[in-house]
Order: sequence, then structure tokens, then C-alpha cells
Amino acid sequence: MNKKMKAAASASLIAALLLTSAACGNNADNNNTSTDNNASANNQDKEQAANGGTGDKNGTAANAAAPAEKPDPFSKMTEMVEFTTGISLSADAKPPAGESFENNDVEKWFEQNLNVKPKMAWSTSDQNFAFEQKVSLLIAANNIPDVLSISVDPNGLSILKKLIKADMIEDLTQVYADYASQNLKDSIALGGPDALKSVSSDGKLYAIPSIADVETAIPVVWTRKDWLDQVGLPEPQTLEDVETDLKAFKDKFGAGSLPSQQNIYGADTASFDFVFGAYNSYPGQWIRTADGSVGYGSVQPEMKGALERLAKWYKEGLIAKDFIMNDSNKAVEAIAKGKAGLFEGAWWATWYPLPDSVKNDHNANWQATVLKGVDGIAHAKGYGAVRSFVVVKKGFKHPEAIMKMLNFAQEANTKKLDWYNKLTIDDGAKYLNAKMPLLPVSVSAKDPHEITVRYKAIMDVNDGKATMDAADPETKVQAAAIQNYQKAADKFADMGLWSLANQFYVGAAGLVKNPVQQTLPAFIGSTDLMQKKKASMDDLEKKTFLEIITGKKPIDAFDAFVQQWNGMGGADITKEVNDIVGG
Amino acid sequence: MKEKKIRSLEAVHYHVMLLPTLILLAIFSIYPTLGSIMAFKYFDPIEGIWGSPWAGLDHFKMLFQIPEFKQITINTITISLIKIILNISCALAFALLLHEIKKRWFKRSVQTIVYLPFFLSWVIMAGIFKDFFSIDGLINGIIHRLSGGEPIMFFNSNTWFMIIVYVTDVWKGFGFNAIVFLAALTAINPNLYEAADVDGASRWAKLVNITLPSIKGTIVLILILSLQGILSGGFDQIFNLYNPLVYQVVDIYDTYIYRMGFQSNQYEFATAVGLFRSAVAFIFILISQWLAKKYGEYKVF
Amino acid sequence: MSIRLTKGDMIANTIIYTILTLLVVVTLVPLLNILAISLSDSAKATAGLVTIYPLGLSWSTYTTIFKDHAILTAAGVSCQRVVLALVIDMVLVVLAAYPLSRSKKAFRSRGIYMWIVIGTMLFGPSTVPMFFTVKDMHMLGTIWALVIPGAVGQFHIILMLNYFRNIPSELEESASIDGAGPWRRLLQIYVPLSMPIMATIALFVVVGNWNAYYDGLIYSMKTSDFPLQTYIQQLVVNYDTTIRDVDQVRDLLAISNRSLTAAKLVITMIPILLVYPFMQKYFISGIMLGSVKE
Repeated sequence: MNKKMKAAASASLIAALLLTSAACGNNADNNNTSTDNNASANNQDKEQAANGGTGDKNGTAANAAAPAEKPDPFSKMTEMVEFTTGISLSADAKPPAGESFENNDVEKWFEQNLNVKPKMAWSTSDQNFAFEQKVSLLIAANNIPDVLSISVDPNGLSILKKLIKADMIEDLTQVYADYASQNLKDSIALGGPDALKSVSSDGKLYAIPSIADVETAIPVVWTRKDWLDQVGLPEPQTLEDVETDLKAFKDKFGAGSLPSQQNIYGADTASFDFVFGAYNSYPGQWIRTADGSVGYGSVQPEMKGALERLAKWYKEGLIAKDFIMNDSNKAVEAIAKGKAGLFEGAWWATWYPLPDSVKNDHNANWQATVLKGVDGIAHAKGYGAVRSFVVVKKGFKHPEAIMKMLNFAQEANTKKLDWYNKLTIDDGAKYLNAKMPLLPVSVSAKDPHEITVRYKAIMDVNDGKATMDAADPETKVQAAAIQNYQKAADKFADMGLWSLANQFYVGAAGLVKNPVQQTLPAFIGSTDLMQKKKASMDDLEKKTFLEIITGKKPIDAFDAFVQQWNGMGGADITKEVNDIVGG
Repeated sequence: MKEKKIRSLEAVHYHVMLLPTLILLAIFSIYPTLGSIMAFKYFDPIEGIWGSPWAGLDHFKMLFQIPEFKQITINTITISLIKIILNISCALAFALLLHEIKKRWFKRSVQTIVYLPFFLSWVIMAGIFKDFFSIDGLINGIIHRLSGGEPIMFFNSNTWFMIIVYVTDVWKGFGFNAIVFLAALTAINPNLYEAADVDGASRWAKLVNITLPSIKGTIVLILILSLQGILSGGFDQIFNLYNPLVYQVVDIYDTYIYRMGFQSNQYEFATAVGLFRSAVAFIFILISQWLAKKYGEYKVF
Repeated sequence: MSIRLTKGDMIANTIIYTILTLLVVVTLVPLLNILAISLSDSAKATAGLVTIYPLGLSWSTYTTIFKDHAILTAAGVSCQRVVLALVIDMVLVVLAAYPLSRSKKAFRSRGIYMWIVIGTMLFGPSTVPMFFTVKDMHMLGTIWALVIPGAVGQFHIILMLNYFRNIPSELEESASIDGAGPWRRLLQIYVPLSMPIMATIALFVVVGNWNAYYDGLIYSMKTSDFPLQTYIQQLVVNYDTTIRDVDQVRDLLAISNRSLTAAKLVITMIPILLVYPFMQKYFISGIMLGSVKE
């Protein structure tokens, strides 16, 4: 749904406020435990224009056209720089009275302290691909704003390709080298070498990527512990266990089918990704195959076992007969109704779809785990590390101003800026439900294993192994939520608190129970042939898989499909991809 | 002589009256329609439509290379034709039934209620219909109670799916479409019926001999007008209802363009499909005009 | 029209009444479903438990809506659009239909104009060139982008000109002899005699503009400029793409509010429901005479 990076800021802010307002006071001090943010810590001093990019090795990287000003990632621009941008807004965005994207406390800080001012060229809905549609129309009309933040999903990289081809955006190689803060560079480096490569062309960097944690992609199996106890079964560990559990649930509770939907893979709730993962197969994803080359996951032989298993489940009624008509919302109805005791979701399912289940039945005790595969090892798909990226229009005078904004955004999104925490958390109650982006332009680069790391930190605080005061801001927020929840008399009065507290306590706990081997994509993006042919090939693939699962065709149809797929252009596309990856 | 002069003087006024319409059409219809030339270009945003390099027939060649293209063309035409026929005949049947009703309040209420669905968007209705026709939905519940039979998987089967497409389409439109027929029916001279009553004509005889002939013109008109929208309608409905298993029978130009276009933003290609669709539609319109003249003794324009 | 009913008539009547009543039921059930959802507890609605009567009756969705300025803003945009479109479209249609309703003898260029009207009705532009045009006219992001590009209703012109042709020519001739020019004849004879078709076309214009959503999405440059239907469309979430960031998940809490969405749908329907019954009378005679030529 919310595909925009729209306010990674405002979203975590909401969560933070859920409890800061209730619990902890204003002890946001700037003693961050991490070591690499000395540059940012000084920025609370508003008059401090230049505090020396201590971490930057600007001497070696930047010599071409070196301006008189020494490149400093956080210094104030000498004159006011205005830039236009387009944003996506939720249908229920409610800015505080008199404020807007162009005019709010955070924006004012940037105006005064960085001499950079955003102007909203346009805004559109964050739903139904409205943003992508607007962007591609404006590209066609050669009318893009100075700065755009585009999400990779669903077709951001093909938009980027278009922009590069039409020569509409700036080459940011030099600016990144000179002006990106060390913290941002280090964080982006965590995404691996492909992170920058996927937004580059001919060795030139055309966008600044946001790096997401990769663990969110891991499909988690959620089961109702209260039901398992009643039928005397342990938490499922394998696909066989899932079958046993479903059958037992059917006999005891009349809830024997797995909530499922027409997107059999790639959707984060009620898809069959956990089955594919168990067979070490990754449909829809370009992966390294056994021979070292890159291949398309959907045509690899491992798929066959998974499809066969699904066909068997369908035949036995473990999958709803008409699952192909379901989208996620429809699929999860059964969960809310108490007609399902086991489903595949994300580790954050405490936000969706579980609240409705728990509201309707307070006894529902959902627990999470990652299944072991048929070879005894837990396998899972992954997303590309790059989640979104920021581009600058060709001819924009001060790309370095945007780079500086992004440096600040990275500090802000990791809650390392005191002035930002103060404006948005301590004094920021008015932004609680605003649902609007506060940072004029944003990237957020995270540790790809953020969830595991964070979980350990939170549990250390929770178990008393570490003190709350020493924890970093994000951990503090989460740990406090768990404490507040445990103290609450009525556990279900505030569902926001329920979701927040259980997100790590139960969800992330499930994620780390079994060690997971994640297969990350070997290639994300789009090639020329793909743009022309992929849609037809995807149709064929979807249709074949559904036909096999629903028993309309035997499993052998998979081999015919692979042949047909290669014939339709799959072989050529695979070659293209290998050329790109290899080259 | 004088009369002719007046006429040409008046014609000036006529031109003036038409001027605003013409200007708007020129700017917002004719000029952008000429932009369809994009289908013959490699579009480059910097150069604009007119400055982009020529592509010749490349996009059309690509179009005809698509394996499903023939099937999609057939689907589009069949679905449109069947929908038109069903819509008109159901609306007509409904209007005729309602016309038989003498109780005014009943007539009014029925009429006011059945037109409602016309104003609802498919996005919402599709969700509701999916519920109704699902395995444990209302319809299967009724079937089970009446016959005790196995539930029908409406959305997996090509045949059932098409039936749902047609039924829901009629459901949404029949009330509104019937308005014109009801109008035509009320305009029939009551003396005709009175004379028939004197002759002792049965209801059926009156229907065949008086009612239907009187509204023949209207029927033909509606038929022709619906033929004109032939290849455009149905996207919202089908897009919100379909699934990959039934692509084969239900995929139409617009749904296909959407899936193609969205993935890769190929505007030139989408325009090519649009042009092709217009050409096919044009043939249908010519046919409908010819038919109307021949059988309806009727000219719309 | 006989008073006495034969047995056959009675049976026929029973059948007719039964069929029509069934049709009404079939029409109403899905609509009642929406209404019931809008009045139900949201967790019950999400579970798909609501049929045609509300579960856990609550008006909270409606009170929420009336506190929500976004939907009110959108409704304001829609109203503005409908009023502007109504005025502009009606003026254009009357002005265009009158000359086109003249005989070929009286207005020699009629044929060419007629072809332009019909030609543009049959061949419309595609999205991208249309977007360019609206942009070049500097209309992007203004209310005019929603009103002007579709202001000429070719179909409406045809309805209107057919209606005009049914007005007895004697009326016009006598006015002509009195020295009335084309403008006066149009305004003093044709327009007053054409109220039914004007009402009909007005209804088409109102409904068409009220229900349009796609152009709002394309041409509006601010979410606060969205007309009501575009706004509503954004609430009907297609939740099928993937969440890639922990921080985004918090927004998911909002989407399961099915009852609120249903309530908003009900609200958007109300104006149409209110307008139609009053227009119905004109509507029938208007469309009748507009469409049928002797």
C-alpha cells in the first residue's frame, strides 16, 4: 500500500508519540552511543554554520572543480536555495492548523539553518499508484520538479532508466563524493556494492538511494497458540507441521484452510512465499543459480516441488477453493472472524491484520516463527536493499544543497538530531496524526539487519541487561512500549499500544527463533527487452502457476511453461541480465 | 432574392453561435487527437510529440506480434456485443413489465430504486460481488439450500465468469437504460390501446401490435448509440473482477493496455493500441449507421 | 385499460409484480450491504460478518466524516466543478444545437459542422497528448482543467438538436415575420419550450461531473484539489503491494477501517439520490423527444 517513502519520518514519529506522550519525559540527550556521528551531534547549535565534516575525506575524492567553499556536508548555504518537489499524501493527511508541507517547524529549521527551502510543485495521493502515474506523465511532459523521491516498487527503476535516457536528471557522482556525510556513506555501504550500482548508469551515479532492512521480506508463519494448546500440538516447524495443524484446526474449530490470495508470491500477507522459501525457490526474483549465473526464480527447477505441494494442499482443501479471487484484505477476513488459526504474514503483522482478530477475540494468542525448509534450513526471499531514491533535475543549480538535506535526513531518521527529536517528539504532539512528510526530502539508510540488532537491544533493556538511559532513541521507544503494555490494566484499550508492544516482543521474536538463510536478488531493475516483453511473460507465468495449484493442469505443465517462457524472450532477457550483472 | 440575403445574414449568426464550441473542440479534441501521431514515433520527452524521431510502424508491428492480440480483439468485440444486446433486451423487458403496472406508487418506487446502481463505481461493486459469488457467499448459500449441490466456483471457470460479467453489467445498467424505453412507452397514444380493448385484443396482442411497433425507433436508436461506445466500455468492471485464470476469455484491449502500460510506461505503444481500437470501432459505427438506415428507416444525425 | 380483470390477467399481474419485486430486492441487497457496513463496528466489517443489517450499530463513522475537513474540501471542489460545468456546458449546448438544428437550406455549412461534432465524438484523444494540451493551456492544477476539456458534450448537442427539430416550425416562422433574429428566436421560443431536454441534459452534466474521478487524479496538482470521487477512489485501497520498511507498517492500522470507507461512499451517493427524483419527470419526456425524430 503506502509505497512512497513518504515520511518514514512521520510514521516512526507517530509510533514514538504513542508512548512518549504517555510515558517518558524529555530526557532526549545527545549522548548517542554510536561512534560515527560526531558531525551531527554538533548541529543542535543553530548558529554553527560549519562544523567541519570531520569524517569526510574530501581531500582525496574531490578535486575537480573544487569550489572556494570547502565541501562540508552540514554547512549552511551562502544564499537561499529554493527547490521544487512533488510529494504523495495520505487521503487523511491532517496538517496542524496553518501548517503545510512548505511551512512547518521542521521546514523552518532548514530554512533558517541551512538556507534551503522546499516548494511543493504538486502533491498526489499515496494510493493506487497515483504518484507513479503523475511522475511518468510529468516526465513525458518534460516538467519534473527539481527534486523527486521515487520508490523502487513497483517500477521506480524503469522510471529512473527513462530519466537517464532522456537526460533529465543530474549526474550526482561528484556531489555525492564531496558532500555526502560519512554517516550516510557508511550506511549506504551497508546495502552492499549493488546499492549504488542499481541507481547508476555508465559508472555515473544518478540518484541517492535509501537502504531498507532486508529482514522485513522474510515470510513469518503466525499461529494461534491458544488453539495449538487445545489440540495439543507444538508450534509448527515444517510444512508437514503446518498440514497437521491445519487439519487439527479443521476438526476442532472448523478453521482448516490457510488464508491465501491471488498474489501467490511477493505479497507480504497471505501469500505462499513461506512454501516457496521452504523449497529454496524464489519466484519473481532474479537470483544466483547453482552454476553461478543469474537466473529468473520462477523458472528454476526448485519451483516444481513447491507448486506440487501447493496443488496437494489445494486438493485436500487446506487452501480455500476460491483463493484466486482474494486480495490481502479479503484473505485476512478469516483471521479477523476467528476462522483461521495459521497464516503467513510479515513480522510486523501485529499492525495488520492481527488487531482485528484480537479485538474480536481477546483470547487469540498469536505467535510467530519462520519455518524450516525441506532441507531442514530456514530459507527466505529478500528484497533489494534499495527501497527508494532521490533524483535531482538536470540544470538545478545547487545539487549539493539537496545532498546536505539528505545528510540531515539520515541523521533525523535515525533519531540522532536533538533539534529534530525535540520538534517532532517533545513538542511535536500536533504532528501526531498529521500524516504528512516533515522532512522536505528524505533518505533513510538502515542496517540491513536492523530488526535483529534492534530486537536484541530491546530485549536487553527488557531483561534488565542494559539500562533504558543508555539505549539509543529508537530502542528506547520500543522498550518503553513493551513496559507500558505490560503495565496496562486493559490490554486492548489502546490497540496502537498493543501493536507497537507486540511488534518486537512477538513478531521480531519469531523472526529470530530460527537462523534464516536469506536469498537476496542478484538483479533488480529493468532491461530494454523486459520493458517490451515482461508483461506477457508474467501473464503466462501467473496463469500457469494458478492452473497447476488449482489442479487444472498437472505438475508437468511446469516444464512446458519453462520452455515457452524461454521461447517468448525469457532466454534473451536472462542473457541481457547476465550481461549487466557480469559487466 | 431578399429571402436569400436574410438567410446568409442569419448564417453569420449561426457561425457565431457555433464558434465557442468549435474553438474548444479544436483545442481539446482535435489538436490532442492529432497527438496520436505518437504511435508512429519514438517518444522523447525533451523533443515533445512533434519533434520526436519517427518510428514508422514499429509499435504496430510489436502489437501484432503479441501472441494474445488476436484473442484480445475477439474478446473485446464479443464481450461488447453481448453486453449491448443483453443490456438493451433486459432494459426493454423491464420497461415493458413496468409499463403493465397500473399502481403509480409501485411503478415510481421500482423505477427510482433500480436506477441506483448506475451511479455506483465498479471499484466498490466488484468487492461486493466478489463476496456474493464466493464459495461461502450468498449465492452459493442459496444454491446449497435449494439443491443441496456442490458450491459453484464462479470465478475459476471461464463460463461462469463470463456469466457473472454479463449479469453484473446488466444489474448495474438496466434501470438506467430502461428510462428511455419507459419514456417512449408513456408517449404512445392511449387511444390505440383503447381501440384494441374494444376489439377485445389480448395483452400479448397489444404488446406485439401496438407497443413494440411504436417504440421501434427508440430501440434502434439506443442500439446504434451503444454500438458507438463498443470498444471502450467495460474496463472498470473487468479490471476489478478478473483474475489470471480467466484472462483467456475476459481480457480486453483496455485491461491489456493497463497491464502492459503500467509495467513499462510505454505511451507510444498504448497510443498504437488506442488507434487500432478506434479504427475497429469506426468500422462498427459505419455498419451500425448502415443498419439503422436500412432497417430502422432512421438517421440519428 | 379494462377495469374488470380476467383470470389470465390476474395471473399475469401476479407474475409481473413478483418479478419486479424480485428485481428491486436484487438491486437493493448490495446497496444495503454498503449501508450496513457503514453503520457497523469496523472490526466486524473487516471480518466480513456484515450482511444487510448493521452489527454493533454505530454512527461514529458519520460523525468522523463531518469532522474531517479533507472530505469537506473535496466535496467543495466537486460542487464548484458541477456548478461551473453546468453553466458552461448548457450555454455551449444550446448555442451549438440551434444552428445545427436548422435545415441544410437555411444553414449551408451545417454538414461540415455536424461532421466535426460527430467526428470528435467518435475519436477522442489519448491520455498523454491530452495531458500536454491541458498543461500548455496552463490549466494544470486549476478547476478549469476539470471543467473545460470536457465542456462540449457532443451527445448532448445531438439530443438537443433533435428536440429543437420537434418544435413546430410555424412558431418560428411567425416570429421571423415579426422581425425576430436568430438570437431572439432561440432565447424566446426555443429555450422556453425546451425545458424538459434542458433538465435532462443538466442531469447528465451534473451526474457526469459528480462521478468523474480520473481527470481529478491526472490534472489536480494538490491532494486538496481532488474532487470528491477522486478522493473516495483513493480510500478504496488495493492493498497488494509490498511493505519494505518497518516504519511504513504503522499506517496499516488505518486501512482496515472498512466501515469508514463505506460511510464515505454513502455520503457521495446522497447528492445524486436527492437530485434524481426531482428531475425524473422532465428526464423522461426530455430524453424521449431528444432522441426520437419523427
